[in-house]
Amino acid sequence: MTEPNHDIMISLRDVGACYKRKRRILRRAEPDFWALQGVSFDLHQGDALGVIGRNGVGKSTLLRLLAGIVKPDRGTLVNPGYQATLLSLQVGFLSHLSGRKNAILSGMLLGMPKKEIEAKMDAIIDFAELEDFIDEPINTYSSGMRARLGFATAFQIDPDVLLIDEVLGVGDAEFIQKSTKAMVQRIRSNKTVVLVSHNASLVREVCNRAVWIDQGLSHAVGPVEEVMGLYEESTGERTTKPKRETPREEEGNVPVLG
Amino acid sequence: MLNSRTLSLILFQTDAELSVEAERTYAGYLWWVVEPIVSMAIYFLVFGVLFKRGTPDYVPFLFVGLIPWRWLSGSVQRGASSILNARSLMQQVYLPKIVLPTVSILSNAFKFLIVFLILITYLMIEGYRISTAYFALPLVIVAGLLWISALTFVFAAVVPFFPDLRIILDNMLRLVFFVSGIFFELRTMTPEHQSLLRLNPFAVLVEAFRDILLRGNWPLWEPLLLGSAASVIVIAVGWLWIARNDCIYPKLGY
Repeated sequence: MTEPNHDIMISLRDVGACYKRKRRILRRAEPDFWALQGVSFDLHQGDALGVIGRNGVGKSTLLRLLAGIVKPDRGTLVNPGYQATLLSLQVGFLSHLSGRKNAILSGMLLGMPKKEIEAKMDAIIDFAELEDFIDEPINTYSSGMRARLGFATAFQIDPDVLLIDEVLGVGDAEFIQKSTKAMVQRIRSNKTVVLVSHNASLVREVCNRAVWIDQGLSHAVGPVEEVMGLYEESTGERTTKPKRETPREEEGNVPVLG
Repeated sequence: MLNSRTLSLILFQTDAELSVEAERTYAGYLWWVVEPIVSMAIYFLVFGVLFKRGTPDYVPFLFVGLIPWRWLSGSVQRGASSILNARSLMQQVYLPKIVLPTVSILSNAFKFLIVFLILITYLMIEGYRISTAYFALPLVIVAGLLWISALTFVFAAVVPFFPDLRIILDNMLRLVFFVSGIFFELRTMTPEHQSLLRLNPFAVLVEAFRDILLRGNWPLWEPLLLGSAASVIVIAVGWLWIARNDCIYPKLGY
Protein backbone atom coordinates (compact mmCIF):
# COMPACT_ATOMS: atom_id res chain seq x y z
CA MET A 1 0.00 0.00 0.00
CA THR A 2 1.25 3.47 -0.80
CA GLU A 3 2.17 5.64 2.09
CA PRO A 4 -0.76 7.96 2.86
CA ASN A 5 0.01 11.62 3.27
CA HIS A 6 -1.20 13.15 6.45
CA ASP A 7 -3.61 15.87 5.58
CA ILE A 8 -6.52 15.72 7.95
CA MET A 9 -9.89 15.52 6.19
CA ILE A 10 -12.31 15.00 9.06
CA SER A 11 -11.50 15.49 12.69
CA LEU A 12 -13.59 14.39 15.68
CA ARG A 13 -13.12 15.47 19.30
CA ASP A 14 -15.24 13.96 22.07
CA VAL A 15 -18.10 13.48 19.70
CA GLY A 16 -21.35 12.16 21.13
CA ALA A 17 -24.70 11.48 19.49
CA CYS A 18 -27.98 11.00 21.23
CA TYR A 19 -31.29 9.56 20.08
CA LYS A 20 -34.31 10.97 21.80
CA ARG A 21 -36.78 8.36 22.96
CA LYS A 22 -40.39 8.62 21.97
CA ARG A 23 -42.36 10.58 24.48
CA ARG A 24 -45.71 9.13 25.39
CA ILE A 25 -48.54 10.36 27.48
CA LEU A 26 -49.49 7.96 30.30
CA ARG A 27 -46.07 6.35 30.25
CA ARG A 28 -42.84 7.16 31.99
CA ALA A 29 -40.33 8.65 29.59
CA GLU A 30 -37.25 6.53 29.07
CA PRO A 31 -33.91 8.31 29.29
CA ASP A 32 -32.40 9.41 26.01
CA PHE A 33 -30.04 6.98 24.36
CA TRP A 34 -26.46 8.06 23.77
CA ALA A 35 -25.27 5.88 20.89
CA LEU A 36 -21.86 7.56 21.02
CA GLN A 37 -20.46 9.33 24.04
CA GLY A 38 -16.95 10.46 23.29
CA VAL A 39 -15.20 9.60 20.07
CA SER A 40 -11.99 11.30 18.99
CA PHE A 41 -9.83 10.62 15.97
CA ASP A 42 -8.58 12.20 12.77
CA LEU A 43 -9.24 10.86 9.32
CA HIS A 44 -6.30 11.53 7.02
CA GLN A 45 -6.23 11.76 3.27
CA GLY A 46 -5.63 8.32 1.81
CA ASP A 47 -6.45 6.49 5.03
CA ALA A 48 -8.27 3.20 5.01
CA LEU A 49 -9.65 3.43 8.50
CA GLY A 50 -11.22 0.34 10.04
CA VAL A 51 -13.85 0.84 12.73
CA ILE A 52 -14.15 -2.18 14.98
CA GLY A 53 -16.19 -2.98 18.03
CA ARG A 54 -18.99 -5.24 19.15
CA ASN A 55 -22.59 -4.97 18.04
CA GLY A 56 -24.51 -1.93 19.15
CA VAL A 57 -21.56 0.24 20.17
CA GLY A 58 -22.55 3.00 17.80
CA LYS A 59 -20.54 2.15 14.71
CA SER A 60 -23.41 2.88 12.34
CA THR A 61 -24.12 6.14 14.14
CA LEU A 62 -20.46 7.06 13.64
CA LEU A 63 -20.84 6.55 9.90
CA ARG A 64 -23.98 8.71 9.89
CA LEU A 65 -22.06 11.46 11.65
CA LEU A 66 -19.21 11.24 9.16
CA ALA A 67 -21.70 11.32 6.27
CA GLY A 68 -23.32 14.45 7.69
CA ILE A 69 -26.67 12.67 8.03
CA VAL A 70 -26.82 13.57 11.72
CA LYS A 71 -24.93 16.18 13.72
CA PRO A 72 -23.06 15.58 16.97
CA ASP A 73 -24.99 16.41 20.13
CA ARG A 74 -21.74 16.98 21.98
CA GLY A 75 -18.12 17.53 21.03
CA THR A 76 -16.93 18.82 17.67
CA LEU A 77 -16.73 17.30 14.24
CA VAL A 78 -14.79 19.35 11.71
CA ASN A 79 -15.22 18.66 8.04
CA PRO A 80 -14.10 21.60 5.90
CA GLY A 81 -16.32 20.52 3.01
CA TYR A 82 -15.28 17.05 1.94
CA GLN A 83 -18.06 14.92 0.57
CA ALA A 84 -18.39 11.77 2.66
CA THR A 85 -20.94 9.28 1.41
CA LEU A 86 -22.21 6.04 2.85
CA LEU A 87 -22.14 3.23 0.33
CA SER A 88 -25.87 2.49 0.46
CA LEU A 89 -27.02 -0.35 -1.73
CA GLN A 90 -30.43 -0.15 -3.40
CA VAL A 91 -31.12 3.13 -1.66
CA GLY A 92 -34.38 4.71 -2.82
CA PHE A 93 -35.27 1.78 -5.07
CA LEU A 94 -38.93 1.80 -6.10
CA SER A 95 -40.23 -1.61 -7.07
CA HIS A 96 -42.44 -0.64 -10.01
CA LEU A 97 -39.78 1.44 -11.68
CA SER A 98 -37.41 0.19 -14.36
CA GLY A 99 -33.87 -0.83 -13.46
CA ARG A 100 -32.51 2.12 -15.44
CA LYS A 101 -34.64 4.69 -13.64
CA ASN A 102 -33.86 3.11 -10.28
CA ALA A 103 -30.16 3.32 -11.01
CA ILE A 104 -30.54 7.03 -11.80
CA LEU A 105 -32.67 7.66 -8.72
CA SER A 106 -30.33 5.75 -6.43
CA GLY A 107 -27.28 7.43 -7.93
CA MET A 108 -28.81 10.88 -7.49
CA LEU A 109 -29.61 10.11 -3.86
CA LEU A 110 -25.99 9.06 -3.42
CA GLY A 111 -24.96 12.47 -4.67
CA MET A 112 -24.14 11.90 -8.33
CA PRO A 113 -25.42 14.31 -10.98
CA LYS A 114 -27.99 12.73 -13.29
CA LYS A 115 -25.81 13.20 -16.37
CA GLU A 116 -22.92 11.39 -14.77
CA ILE A 117 -25.07 8.36 -13.94
CA GLU A 118 -26.46 8.30 -17.45
CA ALA A 119 -22.92 8.40 -18.80
CA LYS A 120 -21.98 5.47 -16.58
CA MET A 121 -25.13 3.48 -17.35
CA ASP A 122 -23.37 1.06 -19.69
CA ALA A 123 -20.78 0.32 -17.03
CA ILE A 124 -23.56 -0.25 -14.49
CA ILE A 125 -25.50 -2.60 -16.79
CA ASP A 126 -22.32 -4.42 -17.63
CA PHE A 127 -21.14 -4.84 -14.06
CA ALA A 128 -24.61 -5.86 -12.86
CA GLU A 129 -24.88 -8.36 -15.75
CA LEU A 130 -28.40 -7.17 -16.50
CA GLU A 131 -28.31 -6.62 -20.27
CA ASP A 132 -31.86 -6.26 -21.62
CA PHE A 133 -33.45 -6.47 -18.20
CA ILE A 134 -32.37 -2.93 -17.38
CA ASP A 135 -35.59 -1.48 -18.78
CA GLU A 136 -37.85 -3.94 -16.99
CA PRO A 137 -39.42 -2.88 -13.67
CA ILE A 138 -37.35 -4.23 -10.80
CA ASN A 139 -40.24 -6.09 -9.22
CA THR A 140 -39.70 -8.59 -12.04
CA TYR A 141 -36.08 -9.04 -10.89
CA SER A 142 -34.78 -11.81 -8.70
CA SER A 143 -33.32 -10.63 -5.42
CA GLY A 144 -29.90 -11.41 -6.83
CA MET A 145 -30.48 -9.16 -9.83
CA ARG A 146 -31.67 -6.39 -7.59
CA ALA A 147 -28.61 -6.78 -5.38
CA ARG A 148 -26.34 -6.65 -8.43
CA LEU A 149 -28.00 -3.49 -9.73
CA GLY A 150 -27.78 -1.89 -6.28
CA PHE A 151 -24.11 -2.67 -6.00
CA ALA A 152 -23.20 -1.68 -9.54
CA THR A 153 -24.94 1.68 -9.06
CA ALA A 154 -23.49 2.48 -5.65
CA PHE A 155 -20.04 1.41 -6.83
CA GLN A 156 -20.02 4.29 -9.33
CA ILE A 157 -19.90 6.95 -6.64
CA ASP A 158 -16.54 8.54 -6.03
CA PRO A 159 -16.84 10.77 -2.97
CA ASP A 160 -13.87 12.30 -1.14
CA VAL A 161 -14.49 9.85 1.67
CA LEU A 162 -16.21 6.52 1.07
CA LEU A 163 -18.03 5.08 4.08
CA ILE A 164 -18.72 1.36 4.12
CA ASP A 165 -20.92 -0.44 6.64
CA GLU A 166 -19.94 -4.11 6.85
CA VAL A 167 -20.91 -5.31 3.46
CA LEU A 168 -18.34 -5.39 0.69
CA GLY A 169 -19.91 -7.93 -1.60
CA VAL A 170 -23.49 -8.95 -2.31
CA GLY A 171 -25.53 -11.31 -4.46
CA ASP A 172 -24.98 -14.95 -5.30
CA ALA A 173 -21.67 -16.68 -4.57
CA GLU A 174 -20.11 -15.68 -7.85
CA PHE A 175 -21.13 -12.04 -7.66
CA ILE A 176 -20.00 -11.82 -4.03
CA GLN A 177 -16.54 -12.75 -5.25
CA LYS A 178 -16.64 -10.24 -8.06
CA SER A 179 -18.06 -7.36 -6.05
CA THR A 180 -15.87 -7.95 -3.02
CA LYS A 181 -12.82 -8.05 -5.22
CA ALA A 182 -13.80 -4.77 -6.87
CA MET A 183 -14.42 -3.19 -3.50
CA VAL A 184 -11.15 -4.37 -1.98
CA GLN A 185 -9.33 -2.95 -4.97
CA ARG A 186 -11.14 0.33 -4.49
CA ILE A 187 -10.18 0.46 -0.81
CA ARG A 188 -6.56 -0.24 -1.65
CA SER A 189 -6.37 2.36 -4.39
CA ASN A 190 -5.32 5.15 -2.03
CA LYS A 191 -8.91 6.35 -1.65
CA THR A 192 -9.97 7.60 1.73
CA VAL A 193 -12.22 4.96 3.17
CA VAL A 194 -13.86 4.28 6.50
CA LEU A 195 -14.84 0.64 6.88
CA VAL A 196 -17.02 -0.58 9.71
CA SER A 197 -16.63 -4.29 10.25
CA HIS A 198 -16.83 -7.19 12.66
CA ASN A 199 -14.42 -9.07 10.53
CA ALA A 200 -11.05 -8.56 12.18
CA SER A 201 -9.04 -10.28 9.48
CA LEU A 202 -10.67 -8.15 6.79
CA VAL A 203 -9.81 -4.97 8.68
CA ARG A 204 -6.21 -6.13 9.07
CA GLU A 205 -6.04 -6.93 5.42
CA VAL A 206 -7.40 -3.76 3.85
CA CYS A 207 -6.95 -1.01 6.43
CA ASN A 208 -3.84 0.87 7.49
CA ARG A 209 -5.39 2.44 10.57
CA ALA A 210 -8.14 1.45 12.93
CA VAL A 211 -10.30 2.85 15.68
CA TRP A 212 -11.83 0.61 18.32
CA ILE A 213 -15.17 1.78 19.62
CA ASP A 214 -16.42 0.40 22.89
CA GLN A 215 -19.49 1.56 24.80
CA GLY A 216 -19.68 4.72 22.74
CA LEU A 217 -16.07 5.71 23.36
CA SER A 218 -13.07 5.53 21.08
CA HIS A 219 -11.02 3.05 23.05
CA ALA A 220 -7.95 3.00 20.85
CA VAL A 221 -6.86 4.71 17.66
CA GLY A 222 -3.76 4.10 15.61
CA PRO A 223 -2.02 1.78 13.17
CA VAL A 224 -4.16 -1.22 12.41
CA GLU A 225 -1.84 -3.83 13.96
CA GLU A 226 -1.65 -2.00 17.27
CA VAL A 227 -5.36 -1.42 17.60
CA MET A 228 -6.30 -4.90 16.46
CA GLY A 229 -3.84 -6.34 18.96
CA LEU A 230 -5.51 -4.48 21.80
CA TYR A 231 -8.95 -5.39 20.56
CA GLU A 232 -8.17 -9.06 20.27
CA GLU A 233 -6.51 -9.12 23.65
CA SER A 234 -9.75 -7.88 25.16
CA THR A 235 -12.00 -10.25 23.25
CA GLY A 236 -9.65 -13.22 23.51
CA GLU A 237 -9.77 -13.81 19.78
CA ARG A 238 -6.82 -13.90 17.52
CA THR A 239 -6.72 -13.47 13.81
CA THR A 240 -3.50 -13.78 11.97
CA LYS A 241 -2.18 -11.32 9.54
CA PRO A 242 -2.69 -12.48 5.96
CA LYS A 243 0.32 -14.34 4.68
CA ARG A 244 0.89 -12.24 1.61
CA GLU A 245 1.00 -8.51 1.52
CA THR A 246 -0.71 -8.16 -1.83
CA PRO A 247 -3.23 -10.90 -2.39
CA ARG A 248 -5.32 -8.77 -4.68
CA GLU A 249 -4.49 -10.61 -7.90
CA GLU A 250 -5.30 -14.00 -6.52
CA GLU A 251 -8.82 -15.30 -6.48
CA GLY A 252 -9.90 -17.19 -3.42
CA ASN A 253 -7.81 -14.99 -1.22
CA VAL A 254 -10.43 -12.30 -1.26
CA PRO A 255 -12.24 -11.96 2.02
CA VAL A 256 -15.90 -12.78 1.71
CA LEU A 257 -18.58 -11.46 3.92
CA GLY A 258 -21.90 -13.20 4.27
CA MET B 1 -31.46 27.08 -0.63
CA LEU B 2 -32.38 25.03 -3.70
CA ASN B 3 -29.33 24.18 -5.74
CA SER B 4 -29.62 22.61 -9.16
CA ARG B 5 -28.85 19.12 -7.85
CA THR B 6 -31.66 19.28 -5.32
CA LEU B 7 -33.96 20.61 -7.98
CA SER B 8 -33.17 17.83 -10.43
CA LEU B 9 -33.62 15.28 -7.63
CA ILE B 10 -37.06 16.75 -6.90
CA LEU B 11 -38.08 16.58 -10.54
CA PHE B 12 -36.80 13.05 -11.04
CA GLN B 13 -38.43 11.83 -7.82
CA THR B 14 -41.73 13.40 -8.86
CA ASP B 15 -41.59 11.75 -12.24
CA ALA B 16 -40.67 8.42 -10.61
CA GLU B 17 -43.49 8.67 -8.11
CA LEU B 18 -46.05 9.43 -10.80
CA SER B 19 -44.95 6.56 -12.99
CA VAL B 20 -44.83 4.16 -10.04
CA GLU B 21 -48.38 5.12 -9.18
CA ALA B 22 -49.44 4.36 -12.72
CA GLU B 23 -47.45 1.13 -13.00
CA ARG B 24 -48.89 -0.28 -9.81
CA THR B 25 -52.32 -0.86 -11.29
CA TYR B 26 -53.69 -2.58 -14.34
CA ALA B 27 -55.39 0.53 -15.72
CA GLY B 28 -52.43 2.74 -14.82
CA TYR B 29 -52.73 6.38 -15.81
CA LEU B 30 -56.45 5.88 -16.53
CA TRP B 31 -57.09 5.86 -12.80
CA TRP B 32 -56.07 9.51 -12.49
CA VAL B 33 -59.19 10.27 -14.53
CA VAL B 34 -61.52 7.42 -13.62
CA GLU B 35 -61.04 7.59 -9.88
CA PRO B 36 -62.06 11.26 -9.51
CA ILE B 37 -65.08 10.64 -11.73
CA VAL B 38 -66.18 7.69 -9.60
CA SER B 39 -65.78 9.64 -6.40
CA MET B 40 -67.59 12.66 -7.83
CA ALA B 41 -70.43 10.36 -8.92
CA ILE B 42 -70.77 9.25 -5.31
CA TYR B 43 -70.95 12.83 -4.05
CA PHE B 44 -73.51 13.59 -6.74
CA LEU B 45 -75.57 10.60 -5.65
CA VAL B 46 -75.50 11.67 -2.02
CA PHE B 47 -75.93 15.42 -2.31
CA GLY B 48 -77.63 15.74 -5.66
CA VAL B 49 -80.05 12.86 -5.60
CA LEU B 50 -80.59 11.82 -2.00
CA PHE B 51 -80.63 15.33 -0.55
CA LYS B 52 -82.53 16.59 -3.60
CA ARG B 53 -80.29 19.53 -4.31
CA GLY B 54 -80.55 18.41 -7.88
CA THR B 55 -81.02 21.58 -9.89
CA PRO B 56 -79.62 21.11 -13.42
CA ASP B 57 -76.54 23.17 -12.55
CA TYR B 58 -75.78 21.19 -9.46
CA VAL B 59 -73.40 18.65 -11.02
CA PRO B 60 -71.03 21.24 -12.55
CA PHE B 61 -71.34 23.28 -9.38
CA LEU B 62 -70.33 20.29 -7.26
CA PHE B 63 -67.51 19.20 -9.55
CA VAL B 64 -65.89 22.63 -9.62
CA GLY B 65 -65.72 22.47 -5.83
CA LEU B 66 -64.70 18.84 -5.53
CA ILE B 67 -61.77 18.81 -7.92
CA PRO B 68 -59.73 21.48 -6.07
CA TRP B 69 -60.74 19.76 -2.85
CA ARG B 70 -59.27 16.46 -3.98
CA TRP B 71 -56.11 18.32 -4.89
CA LEU B 72 -55.87 19.76 -1.40
CA SER B 73 -56.60 16.57 0.51
CA GLY B 74 -54.40 14.40 -1.68
CA SER B 75 -51.41 16.68 -1.40
CA VAL B 76 -51.68 17.37 2.32
CA GLN B 77 -52.34 13.76 3.29
CA ARG B 78 -49.49 12.45 1.19
CA GLY B 79 -47.14 15.23 2.15
CA ALA B 80 -47.86 15.04 5.86
CA SER B 81 -46.27 11.59 6.07
CA SER B 82 -43.55 12.25 3.51
CA ILE B 83 -40.70 12.94 5.94
CA LEU B 84 -41.95 10.45 8.53
CA ASN B 85 -42.10 7.62 6.00
CA ALA B 86 -38.65 8.33 4.59
CA ARG B 87 -36.92 7.31 7.80
CA SER B 88 -34.79 4.50 6.44
CA LEU B 89 -33.87 6.56 3.38
CA MET B 90 -32.80 9.49 5.55
CA GLN B 91 -30.56 7.23 7.59
CA GLN B 92 -28.67 6.01 4.56
CA VAL B 93 -28.07 9.17 2.58
CA TYR B 94 -28.08 12.85 3.28
CA LEU B 95 -30.79 14.61 1.36
CA PRO B 96 -32.39 17.99 2.02
CA LYS B 97 -35.66 16.96 3.67
CA ILE B 98 -37.53 19.71 1.85
CA VAL B 99 -37.34 17.42 -1.20
CA LEU B 100 -39.85 15.00 0.32
CA PRO B 101 -42.94 17.21 0.78
CA THR B 102 -42.09 19.09 -2.41
CA VAL B 103 -42.39 15.85 -4.37
CA SER B 104 -45.86 15.27 -2.87
CA ILE B 105 -46.90 18.80 -3.78
CA LEU B 106 -45.67 18.58 -7.35
CA SER B 107 -47.05 15.14 -8.15
CA ASN B 108 -50.48 16.08 -6.80
CA ALA B 109 -50.45 19.41 -8.63
CA PHE B 110 -49.70 17.56 -11.85
CA LYS B 111 -52.60 15.16 -11.35
CA PHE B 112 -54.86 18.09 -10.53
CA LEU B 113 -54.00 19.83 -13.77
CA ILE B 114 -54.94 16.77 -15.80
CA VAL B 115 -58.29 16.37 -14.05
CA PHE B 116 -58.86 20.10 -14.30
CA LEU B 117 -58.49 19.98 -18.08
CA ILE B 118 -61.07 17.21 -18.17
CA LEU B 119 -63.36 19.32 -16.00
CA ILE B 120 -63.13 22.19 -18.47
CA THR B 121 -63.89 19.81 -21.33
CA TYR B 122 -66.91 18.57 -19.42
CA LEU B 123 -68.10 22.15 -18.81
CA MET B 124 -67.83 22.87 -22.55
CA ILE B 125 -70.00 19.85 -23.28
CA GLU B 126 -72.52 21.06 -20.70
CA GLY B 127 -72.80 24.36 -22.56
CA TYR B 128 -70.57 26.65 -20.48
CA ARG B 129 -68.39 28.98 -22.50
CA ILE B 130 -64.85 30.23 -22.14
CA SER B 131 -64.85 33.90 -21.11
CA THR B 132 -62.20 36.57 -20.63
CA ALA B 133 -62.30 35.67 -16.93
CA TYR B 134 -60.33 32.57 -17.90
CA PHE B 135 -57.25 34.80 -17.93
CA ALA B 136 -57.52 34.81 -14.15
CA LEU B 137 -57.32 31.00 -13.95
CA PRO B 138 -53.53 30.68 -13.81
CA LEU B 139 -53.42 33.15 -10.94
CA VAL B 140 -56.14 31.33 -9.04
CA ILE B 141 -54.33 28.04 -9.57
CA VAL B 142 -51.12 29.59 -8.25
CA ALA B 143 -53.03 30.87 -5.22
CA GLY B 144 -54.30 27.31 -4.68
CA LEU B 145 -50.81 25.90 -5.05
CA LEU B 146 -49.50 28.33 -2.43
CA TRP B 147 -52.23 27.50 0.06
CA ILE B 148 -51.83 23.75 -0.47
CA SER B 149 -48.04 24.00 -0.24
CA ALA B 150 -48.32 25.91 3.01
CA LEU B 151 -50.45 23.20 4.63
CA THR B 152 -48.32 20.40 3.20
CA PHE B 153 -45.02 21.86 4.41
CA VAL B 154 -46.31 22.57 7.89
CA PHE B 155 -47.71 19.10 8.40
CA ALA B 156 -44.68 17.42 6.83
CA ALA B 157 -42.46 19.40 9.21
CA VAL B 158 -44.34 18.61 12.40
CA VAL B 159 -45.74 15.09 11.86
CA PRO B 160 -42.33 13.36 12.39
CA PHE B 161 -42.24 14.89 15.88
CA PHE B 162 -45.89 14.08 16.63
CA PRO B 163 -47.11 11.21 14.44
CA ASP B 164 -50.49 11.43 16.20
CA LEU B 165 -51.07 14.61 14.28
CA ARG B 166 -52.05 12.55 11.25
CA ILE B 167 -55.24 11.47 13.02
CA ILE B 168 -56.05 15.08 13.86
CA LEU B 169 -55.24 16.02 10.27
CA ASP B 170 -57.80 13.59 8.85
CA ASN B 171 -60.49 15.19 10.97
CA MET B 172 -59.30 18.67 10.22
CA LEU B 173 -59.53 17.96 6.50
CA ARG B 174 -63.06 16.71 6.98
CA LEU B 175 -63.93 19.97 8.71
CA VAL B 176 -62.35 22.01 5.91
CA PHE B 177 -64.42 19.98 3.47
CA PHE B 178 -67.67 20.91 5.18
CA VAL B 179 -66.90 24.60 5.67
CA SER B 180 -65.47 25.31 2.23
CA GLY B 181 -68.75 25.54 0.40
CA ILE B 182 -68.00 22.54 -1.77
CA PHE B 183 -71.58 21.27 -1.89
CA PHE B 184 -73.36 24.51 -1.01
CA GLU B 185 -73.14 28.13 -2.12
CA LEU B 186 -71.31 30.40 0.29
CA ARG B 187 -73.52 33.32 -0.79
CA THR B 188 -76.67 31.61 0.49
CA MET B 189 -75.38 31.77 4.08
CA THR B 190 -76.14 34.64 6.48
CA PRO B 191 -73.70 37.56 6.17
CA GLU B 192 -72.08 36.77 9.54
CA HIS B 193 -71.53 33.15 8.57
CA GLN B 194 -70.24 34.21 5.19
CA SER B 195 -67.53 36.46 6.57
CA LEU B 196 -66.56 33.76 9.04
CA LEU B 197 -66.37 31.07 6.36
CA ARG B 198 -64.34 33.34 4.09
CA LEU B 199 -61.53 33.32 6.65
CA ASN B 200 -60.83 29.91 5.19
CA PRO B 201 -58.66 30.51 2.12
CA PHE B 202 -59.89 27.31 0.55
CA ALA B 203 -63.51 28.50 0.57
CA VAL B 204 -62.33 31.64 -1.20
CA LEU B 205 -60.51 29.50 -3.74
CA VAL B 206 -63.55 27.36 -4.49
CA GLU B 207 -65.64 30.48 -4.93
CA ALA B 208 -63.07 31.96 -7.31
CA PHE B 209 -63.10 28.82 -9.45
CA ARG B 210 -66.91 28.97 -9.63
CA ASP B 211 -66.94 32.66 -10.50
CA ILE B 212 -64.61 32.03 -13.42
CA LEU B 213 -65.77 28.69 -14.73
CA LEU B 214 -69.53 28.82 -14.13
CA ARG B 215 -70.41 32.51 -14.20
CA GLY B 216 -67.73 34.04 -16.39
CA ASN B 217 -66.98 36.61 -13.67
CA TRP B 218 -63.64 37.83 -12.40
CA PRO B 219 -62.86 36.42 -8.95
CA LEU B 220 -62.72 38.58 -5.83
CA TRP B 221 -59.06 39.57 -5.74
CA GLU B 222 -58.71 40.86 -2.24
CA PRO B 223 -59.38 37.65 -0.27
CA LEU B 224 -57.33 35.66 -2.81
CA LEU B 225 -54.34 37.96 -2.33
CA LEU B 226 -54.68 37.92 1.43
CA GLY B 227 -54.81 34.14 1.44
CA SER B 228 -51.78 33.96 -0.84
CA ALA B 229 -49.79 36.36 1.30
CA ALA B 230 -50.60 34.35 4.41
CA SER B 231 -49.64 31.17 2.56
CA VAL B 232 -46.26 32.59 1.57
CA ILE B 233 -45.49 33.38 5.20
CA VAL B 234 -46.55 29.91 6.31
CA ILE B 235 -44.47 28.32 3.52
CA ALA B 236 -41.42 30.29 4.70
CA VAL B 237 -41.95 29.19 8.30
CA GLY B 238 -42.46 25.55 7.33
CA TRP B 239 -39.46 25.61 5.02
CA LEU B 240 -37.17 27.11 7.66
CA TRP B 241 -38.41 24.64 10.25
CA ILE B 242 -37.64 21.72 7.95
CA ALA B 243 -34.21 23.14 7.09
CA ARG B 244 -33.43 23.70 10.76
CA ASN B 245 -34.27 20.12 11.64
CA ASP B 246 -32.56 18.62 8.61
CA CYS B 247 -30.24 16.50 10.76
CA ILE B 248 -32.79 15.90 13.52
CA TYR B 249 -35.38 14.03 11.43
CA PRO B 250 -33.13 10.97 10.86
CA LYS B 251 -32.79 10.59 14.63
CA LEU B 252 -36.48 10.65 15.47
CA GLY B 253 -38.64 7.68 16.21
CA TYR B 254 -36.52 5.76 18.71
